[in-house]
Amino acid sequence: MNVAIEVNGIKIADDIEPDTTLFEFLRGHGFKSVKCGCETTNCGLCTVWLDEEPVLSCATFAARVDGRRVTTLEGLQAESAALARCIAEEGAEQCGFCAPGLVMSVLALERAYRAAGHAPTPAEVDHYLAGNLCRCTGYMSQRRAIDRYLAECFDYFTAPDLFAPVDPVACAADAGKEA
Amino acid sequence: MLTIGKYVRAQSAAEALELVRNNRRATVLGGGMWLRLGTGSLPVAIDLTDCGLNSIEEVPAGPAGAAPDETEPRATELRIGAYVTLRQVETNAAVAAATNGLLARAVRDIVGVQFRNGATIGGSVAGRLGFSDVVCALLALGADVELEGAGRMPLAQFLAEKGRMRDVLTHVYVPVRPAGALVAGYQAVRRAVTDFPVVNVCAAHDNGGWRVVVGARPAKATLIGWGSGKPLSLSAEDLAAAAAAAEELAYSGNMWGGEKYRRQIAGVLVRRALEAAVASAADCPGEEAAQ
Repeated sequence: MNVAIEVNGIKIADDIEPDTTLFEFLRGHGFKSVKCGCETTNCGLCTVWLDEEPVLSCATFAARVDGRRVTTLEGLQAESAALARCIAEEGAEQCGFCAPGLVMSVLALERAYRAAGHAPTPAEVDHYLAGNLCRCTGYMSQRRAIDRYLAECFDYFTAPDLFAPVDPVACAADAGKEA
Repeated sequence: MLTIGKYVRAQSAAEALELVRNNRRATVLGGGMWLRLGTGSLPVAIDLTDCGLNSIEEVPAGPAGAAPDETEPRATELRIGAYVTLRQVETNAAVAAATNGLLARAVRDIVGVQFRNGATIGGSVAGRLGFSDVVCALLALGADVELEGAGRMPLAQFLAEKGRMRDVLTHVYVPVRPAGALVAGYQAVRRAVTDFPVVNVCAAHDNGGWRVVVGARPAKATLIGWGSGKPLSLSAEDLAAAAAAAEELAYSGNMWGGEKYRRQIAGVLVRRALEAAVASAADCPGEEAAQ
């Protein structure tokens, strides 16, 4: 069947199989930032924007998207640069496979809260990003990078000590108190 | 991986119904989020994207808009199109106001934002999936469904039907209550924040009394045999009776939890959901008095 999907501002027309997913369509047309990480519709690695809302491209049929606008990381090179820098500054990446999907979600979050006219709270950030899994970092380094980025975008810092280095002696003393 | 023979974007619900009625193997798609986990083939897949079923409107309640236990008929209701996404349900102000935030609370841990932007309320309901947080909450709210073909019916009746659907689900109706007239609590146990619920419970109180629903048993959500006509304030005996009624339902085991575990957890979650609902009403004393 014939579909025409606008990807990063360029209309791509193709004759596809009826069960082609948006993920397969995008990879097939060279948008290799889009990854599949879980095969069970829950890791968020394949996240792209459909009309500026993040969706799982692995679970979206290309036929449904016919005539609509899709954005991948390739189309957000300038917009994603500052976040990429924050990720590097925090040494957040390990294998990096989940990064494109995470970046798409963080940028969608930023746009959503800019539209709402206020900064997200840390709890709202956790909630918004819960659908992006990472199997190497343990999330803490990514979360620091995202906090650093959001602090550049918004008046985000409610806890200025968030990035203060952890004092192992104080930590041990606290642990002793609880015991 | 599932294969599709023919993908049809129906132009109206009537066209979709004709396709379903004329081809025993034609299937209406919801969000399609779980389809990739299946195998086999769909000879004809029908997409309702072009049928105008993606909006939420407040409409005057029709003659069918009354649950059997409703003592005061609803004045208006929300008409939610089958292709409204769970993320729309989560963020829509009218839904939040009409359900006292209950639906947003019920869907918020379903996988992630990008999943909820694809999953549809119609797919959640039509799938009659046991683990559904959406069905659990809608049942407690006294929701109705509307089908092209069979017409409108209470959600509980729709859920009780067996076998393959021969109709096309087009809308879900949720009663609109005056501020403070609906109090609700939602509880679920998940092994990880975004995993399927092991057990989910919704307790809602309006003018008909309490409706308490237990889902993910893992069979589909069902009302417990306690609560109709009961007042908002609850005694220790009421809580014990509600928990006991929940434990009387049928449970079974699967990879998320065993039968005994589910039964025990369900009783605890019913208590917590009731207590959370009552506490939320106590937070707004003016609204409680308005009842």
